[in-house]
Amino acid sequence: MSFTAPFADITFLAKLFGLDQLETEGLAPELADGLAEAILEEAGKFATDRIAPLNRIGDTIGARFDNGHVTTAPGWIETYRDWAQGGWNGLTASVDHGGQGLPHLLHLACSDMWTSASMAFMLGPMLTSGAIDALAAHGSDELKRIYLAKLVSGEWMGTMNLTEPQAGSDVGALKTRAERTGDGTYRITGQKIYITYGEHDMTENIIHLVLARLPDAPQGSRGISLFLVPKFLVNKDGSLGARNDVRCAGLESKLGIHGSPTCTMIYGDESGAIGYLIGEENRGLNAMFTMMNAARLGVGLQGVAIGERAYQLALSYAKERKQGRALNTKSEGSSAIIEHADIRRMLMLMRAKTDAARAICYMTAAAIDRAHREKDAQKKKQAEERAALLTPVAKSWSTDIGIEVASLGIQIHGGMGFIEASGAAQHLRDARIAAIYEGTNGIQAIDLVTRKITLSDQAFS
Amino acid sequence: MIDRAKSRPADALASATAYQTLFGITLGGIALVKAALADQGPTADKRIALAKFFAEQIAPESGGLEKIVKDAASALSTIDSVLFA
Ligand SMILES: Cc1cc2nc3c(=O)[nH]c(=O)nc-3n(C[C@H](O)[C@H](O)[C@H](O)COP(=O)(O)OP(=O)(O)OC[C@H]3O[C@@H](n4cnc5c(N)ncnc54)[C@H](O)[C@@H]3O)c2cc1C
Repeated sequence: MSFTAPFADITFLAKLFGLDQLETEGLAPELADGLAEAILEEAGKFATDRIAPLNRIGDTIGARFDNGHVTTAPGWIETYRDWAQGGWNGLTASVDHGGQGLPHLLHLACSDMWTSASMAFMLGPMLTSGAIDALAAHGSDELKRIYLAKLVSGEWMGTMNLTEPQAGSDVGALKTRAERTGDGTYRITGQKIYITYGEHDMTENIIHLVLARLPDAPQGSRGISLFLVPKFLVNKDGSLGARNDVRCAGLESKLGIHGSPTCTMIYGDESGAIGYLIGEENRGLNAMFTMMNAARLGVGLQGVAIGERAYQLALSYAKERKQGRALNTKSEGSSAIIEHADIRRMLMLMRAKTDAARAICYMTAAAIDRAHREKDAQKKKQAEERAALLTPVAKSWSTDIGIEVASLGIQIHGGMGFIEASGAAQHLRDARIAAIYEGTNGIQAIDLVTRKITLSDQAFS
Repeated sequence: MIDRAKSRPADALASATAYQTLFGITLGGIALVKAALADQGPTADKRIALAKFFAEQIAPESGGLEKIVKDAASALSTIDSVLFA
């Protein structure tokens, strides 16, 4: 069940599908002198040595709930601490906020390996980086000063709170209320469900980004505002203050990603949770989109990452397991199943689809980097449209193939694949959610045909 | 599909997922060819084999998907007779 991060292969594809061009066009001068290679090699080592061993215990023991508290699986806190201390959480964040200002594509390629090592483990950092993006793009200077540095360092984690029982794909149906208090802050009241890393013991504070509706807000998606709601309020000097009026009411019992706590969150049991507006009133979806686009690509990458891990596992089993005699075999006795044409076909399907999806995700990240870095307005707009066009494809196709590849991995194992001890089953169970959250793949298809392909012809070039 | 999204949105939605898959397969196939052409190193043979395999065993699915994208709609209007029978 071991996993080895394929950093050489990932380096090749990341350079080919974006990093080289960004560098030669002067858009990413920091990549000179083999910086990308060095970073990817180190990231790969951390994935292989430290994160991969957590994946199984995350599945079997998982996150546990007891009286409002969530305990993550054994070893997770320590590994997260070392990962954050290695500076890995802040790769793309701006240097002004304590980050390293590196390309998103480089971060995605690192995440590819960390996510293969443990998808459930990497969900927290994925959502945190979305929160950083939204706060950096839309937050006030005061909010940025208090919250950004600790989110960038990984000392605190972020969450994304859209979903409510009656509001899933239809975000506009959400009912969580926000009331103005008169001193510039807001009181948030309502229930959110399925909130990933909504409560846990990996960081001392958790920064919730919550969508809610003001009393005088227009109906539907034009009446939604975005708020920052910390688990612990933060004093002027940066120290932690009182506990905010937000709590986790329970965890879901689910098909996969058992290590990732999926929380029901209650805001405002008592007097209302204190929240701070991000961006403008009623323009919350706009601010949340900053977070969602990056998260959509991050979820697409989960399909790739699970595909990689399932392939490695199936390949090693196919070389060991002996059964029957392959056509034209020269060896004595029964053949390793990897000699059988149908097993070879399945392994190639796994490898080819995983590589193709990886390339699509990397291209999408390259377009995002170009959109951020291009000076020329025309080229910038073109890159923005390309990123917008590719994001639903990267999200949906990669997660579709992730499920298919994980299923093929089980098939290659035969009966053993259905037995949990092989580890093949966990990959399919984990992969399954990626086609559902962050906008189901059906919703992505609607976005693609009704909004994206009509953007402009330039996006296709 | 661009025309249809504007003129007959209901038909476009009926085949949106097929279109999305077609998009993924096409772009993914092109990417593997690009990788095969670019690789001058020790992994060149591997990338050529992957691109060929994709061309032979995956890319042909796009023909069927294209037909779905073009034709889907006519049968959809009669689906209620199954789902609400
Ligand atoms: C493990 C897990 C973690 C999650 N983490 C988070 C999180 O951190 N934060 C958060 O806010 N949410 C989170 N979610 C919620 C997730 O994003 C939603 O479940 C998802 O968006 C789908 O919403 P829904 O479950 O209400 O399904 P529904 O919207 O009820 O969808 C049911 C089905 O109907 C289809 N459908 C819905 N509307 C349309 C339409 N207009 N046209 C065509 N088809 C349609 C969908 O594609 C789907 O197949 C998480 C969910 C899970 C299970």
